[in-house]
Amino acid sequence: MDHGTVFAGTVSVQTAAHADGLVLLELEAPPQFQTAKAGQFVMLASERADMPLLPRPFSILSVGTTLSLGFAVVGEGTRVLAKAQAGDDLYLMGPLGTVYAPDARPVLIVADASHFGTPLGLARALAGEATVVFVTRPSDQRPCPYDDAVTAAHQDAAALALFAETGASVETVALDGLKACLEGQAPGTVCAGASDPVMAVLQQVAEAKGWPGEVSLQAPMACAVGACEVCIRPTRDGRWLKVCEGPVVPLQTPRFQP
Amino acid sequence: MTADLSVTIGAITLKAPIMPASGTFGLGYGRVFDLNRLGALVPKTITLSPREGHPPPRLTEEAGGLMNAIGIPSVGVEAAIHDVFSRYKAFEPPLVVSISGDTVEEFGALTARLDGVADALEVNLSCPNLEAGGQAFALDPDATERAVAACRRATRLPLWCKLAPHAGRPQEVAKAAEAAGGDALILANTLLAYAVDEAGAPRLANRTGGLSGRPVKPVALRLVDEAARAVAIPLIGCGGVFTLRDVLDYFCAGASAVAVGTATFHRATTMVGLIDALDHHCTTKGVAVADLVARRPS
Repeated sequence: MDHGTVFAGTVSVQTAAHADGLVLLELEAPPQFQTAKAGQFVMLASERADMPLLPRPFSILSVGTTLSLGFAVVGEGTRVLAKAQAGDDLYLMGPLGTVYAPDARPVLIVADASHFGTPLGLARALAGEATVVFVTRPSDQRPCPYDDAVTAAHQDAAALALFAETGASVETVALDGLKACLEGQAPGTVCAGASDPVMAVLQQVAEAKGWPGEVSLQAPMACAVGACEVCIRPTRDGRWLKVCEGPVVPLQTPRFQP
Repeated sequence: MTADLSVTIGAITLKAPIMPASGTFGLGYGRVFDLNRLGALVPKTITLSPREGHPPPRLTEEAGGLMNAIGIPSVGVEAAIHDVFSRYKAFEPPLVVSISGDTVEEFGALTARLDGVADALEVNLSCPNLEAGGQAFALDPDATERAVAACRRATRLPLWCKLAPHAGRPQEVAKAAEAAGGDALILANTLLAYAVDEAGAPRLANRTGGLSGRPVKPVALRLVDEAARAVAIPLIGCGGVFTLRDVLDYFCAGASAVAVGTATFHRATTMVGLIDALDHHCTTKGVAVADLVARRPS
């Protein structure tokens, strides 16, 4: 076994940008990340005393001389990690996981702010050669339990701006309009990463239309290497998937809660 | 210069006294560090037949530790032998297979099937005994003795008996495991616990789960101390091992080695970090690990 292909240790934060409940970090990239791809994930933890016990999984947005990560503040772990500043040390483990492998064009990316990292990584990698359907949430929803000032509208707008920067064609739609929006598309492949209700609608439309596709799953993780079986998600045929052994899996495999 | 970190657990010599706790380890960690540095390799507990385990959520962070209710998902012993354990044999450390049974008979059958497959067996006695209303084997000396004796009859492999931390008479349970043929004790499994969310609902789908990590270390250390004064077989400390200080505390209480679980989730390289720290400690002090293992006189 090729030990050392996954880095686990401390890296320094090069830049940190926080706005509207979203955080973008540029980290020192250890040598193990030279062949990493956008859409793979890392486990990240702060060395601060108030960091919860477990590192949190985040998608790689891009990788070069630095490692680019982004996340929405949604809980205790992300709240502490949002305090990271340039020069701070963070614990990093990765690269881990699989990436989208769209084999037909055009690529349709379906995303929302709850899970924007993996789709954004793909949008960046495709450098504008994609259509993004971005699903917005009710504007007054409070997605960040530790900051009532941040609304879903704030987070959605910030995430949307990141997709727009990739040069992709971006359409926004609320959940109740998603089905109609999707039915107007004609993708070669669908790549998605979003909350369960969004995924459930997409899965239904894609199945009816016969679109091939992949989804990136999210789940709380502990080991991130397939040992603990914490990060499981149900499949449509009654099995369990270990998310860390994806997180990208065929679109029709998981069972989503509408 | 490196120190002699080896310890002997019954008939098995470990090159280092640090090993994974069952349920927290898999070959995936081989991409992160050299598995050959560990004292032993301990895959997830297996059962005779396949089982799915509990539905999610299976884990929550509580009281500075973790609470899990994974439910021992298992591919079953046959698939494990063919698809899992064969891959472990490519590594140098001894393979310690953790087993769980619902009945005494199942423990015996599992053990017989694993004879010649593993280097030692971890007998997980914290699982529910379906012949005793679901009470864990390790809560009762008689049930412990019957389960371990069934394993002993089925194999000559070393039997490492993993006990529960909430037994009312832990010394009696320890003695029962030893009397039935146990070669070592692992002290201890997770502590049965319950946690609720802001709405008062259970955080785990199974309602209750096993608490692990720093909060349980004093409990497990107490059990090692009590067992050290009750039995002669080697002891393996398990619970809240994060630092060299934790390892040394377990040695002081009477353990010959420690198992690391939750700390590996916290930082993946904890086990090799502990081996490095122990090596440095021993080299600096001019001692071997065996010199640090101070079993108290009974």
